[in-house]
Amino acid sequence: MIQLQNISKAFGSRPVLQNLSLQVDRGRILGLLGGNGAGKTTTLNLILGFLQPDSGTITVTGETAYIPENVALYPELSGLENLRAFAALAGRDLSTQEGENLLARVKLPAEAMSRRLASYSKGMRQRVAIAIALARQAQVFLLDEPTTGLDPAAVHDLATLLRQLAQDGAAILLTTHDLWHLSIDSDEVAILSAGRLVDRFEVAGQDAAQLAQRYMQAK
Amino acid sequence: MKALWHLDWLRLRRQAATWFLLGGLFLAGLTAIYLGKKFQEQQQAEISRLDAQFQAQCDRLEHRYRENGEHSGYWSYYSFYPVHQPPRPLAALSWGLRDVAPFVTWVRLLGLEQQLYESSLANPLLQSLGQFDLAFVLGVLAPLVLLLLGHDVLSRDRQLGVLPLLAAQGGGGLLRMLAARLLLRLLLVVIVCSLLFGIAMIILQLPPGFDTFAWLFIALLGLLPWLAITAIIAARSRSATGSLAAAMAAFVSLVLLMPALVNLALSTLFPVPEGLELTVRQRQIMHDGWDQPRQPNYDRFLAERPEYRKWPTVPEKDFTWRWYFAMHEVADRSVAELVNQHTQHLRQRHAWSQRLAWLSPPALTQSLLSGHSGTDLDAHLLHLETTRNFHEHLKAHFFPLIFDETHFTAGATKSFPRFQNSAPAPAAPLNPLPPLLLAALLLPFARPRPVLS
Repeated sequence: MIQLQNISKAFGSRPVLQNLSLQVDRGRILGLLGGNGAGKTTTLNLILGFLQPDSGTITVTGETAYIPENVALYPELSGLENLRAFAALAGRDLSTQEGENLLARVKLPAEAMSRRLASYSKGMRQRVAIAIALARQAQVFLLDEPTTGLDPAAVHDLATLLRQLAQDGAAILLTTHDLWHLSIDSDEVAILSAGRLVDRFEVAGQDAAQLAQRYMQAK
Repeated sequence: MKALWHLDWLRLRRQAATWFLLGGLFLAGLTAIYLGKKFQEQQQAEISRLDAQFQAQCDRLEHRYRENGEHSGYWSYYSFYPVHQPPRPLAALSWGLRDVAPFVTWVRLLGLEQQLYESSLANPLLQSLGQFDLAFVLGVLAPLVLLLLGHDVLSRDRQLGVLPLLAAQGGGGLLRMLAARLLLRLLLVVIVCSLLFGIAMIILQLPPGFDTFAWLFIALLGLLPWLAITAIIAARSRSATGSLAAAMAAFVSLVLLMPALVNLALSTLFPVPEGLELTVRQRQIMHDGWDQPRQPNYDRFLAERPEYRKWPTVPEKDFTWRWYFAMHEVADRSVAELVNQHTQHLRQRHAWSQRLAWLSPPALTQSLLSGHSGTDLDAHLLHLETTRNFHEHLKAHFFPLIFDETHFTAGATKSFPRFQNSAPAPAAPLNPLPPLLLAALLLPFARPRPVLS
């Protein structure tokens, strides 16, 4: 579970987040929507502890996994080696078989598992990062613009995977500009504008066009 | 920590630069060991030839005066005696001053000071930091490899974009990551250094005792300040390019600039009269003696040498060997103050250079290693002292015979004194504190920038 209560953050004299409160329960996917500079990535960095809030409290229950917009891993290692190495960092020793099973679960092609990461597409790297999170048995997933640069099929695969994770009990917070992705993937949408939470609603039954209309109204 | 090492090792072993740097260090070390062996062999060969050379000289004297013999003064004038300081076994690893300061000095009964400084100490090219011995490889090149392997352990990941994902794994923060990565690189460098030292032990047949391993211990301790410097650069740099520039600046400053500045400061603070100046002064006084009344000079000699008062006078016109050798000793005495100043200033310089070596880790390591190898300035001054003592011994042997106008005949050289006390210079006491303290002083500055800096 992720809980933010009255979070404020400023960079110098410029406020980035103002009195933000959010909650993502287990089994739920919350899409954080907002324009550039709205404070989405800052929210993730605060939850990860990379930044400290000026005021307010953040509570995260469970192992946290972070999937950045551009997943950067070590290009000189294969996907499987990256997975095992990162899992080991988190205190989990994976056998080759366990590693391959996890990569198969995130639908990484078998032939790519032992190939060096330098030849991977963005979607493939993202899958390795999710496999790393799975290896850690993470219950909280933070994804920053996960669909940027992905083709529709890859977005669909990602949505399926995230839904599966939520069904398994994960709390998922993702930031995006992609309204279509939100419409098929999220349970709930929160709209940020200039660091403030301006709207929050359930997605159920709304398509991308309706979301866009709501977004424009909120802004 | 094990997991961090595993990840790091996987990456390191696939980078050509790792093997290039470690391989280069290894090859440089092998070259230094080879050169050290040659250096040691040359010195030992030179020392082992001394007896034969001395004997050949005696044979020539015997041949020259084989008919009727000759005054002992002639025999003494034409005989040279080698005084030497054998190298410690470790000298092959750390030449110190042994390639610029004489370790064999041929002396004869004349004034000593002019003979001592025939080869000068002040050869700036040879004295600059960087003789290619194993001490140079371990004290200067190994730190360079450590710097090059470690300067970008965080900035490279920062540039690659991996750092946030790494930090999000909960591996214990950047400081732990920095420590793990640098310790792995230090371990690799230590393995190469230890391997080189093992090879040196076999090739140079170094005795496997405390003294020998203490040398390696000092050399490895010398890496600690560099580890701290690498950690500071790695922790504070934003980009790999910036950290490389900082690493090179640190290396050049500490290896070249700082020793040069310290040397300049010490030369200014403690001017040492050159050996040449002493030689010229001594010879000038001695030559002046030929044009001066002889008895006053001889009286000056007797004033310090009451044991020769049973020969109270010298003729003013005729040449006598006792006047001649007495005049040499008086000339020696007349530059005694200058000699004393020379030695004192050298010692002061040495003491200050050891203190100021804290400003330059390679100079500190080299200073400790040459001290432990018996090749530093103390060893050279000991050789000068030994030579002075032997010269006194020669005078004590020959002066009574010369003053008594003794004629030597065939076989006289058999009783000529020979230098016996051929012990190497002792090792300076082992002091591991300076590199440890230096590292401890620097390490607190190695605080990593935040992930999102």
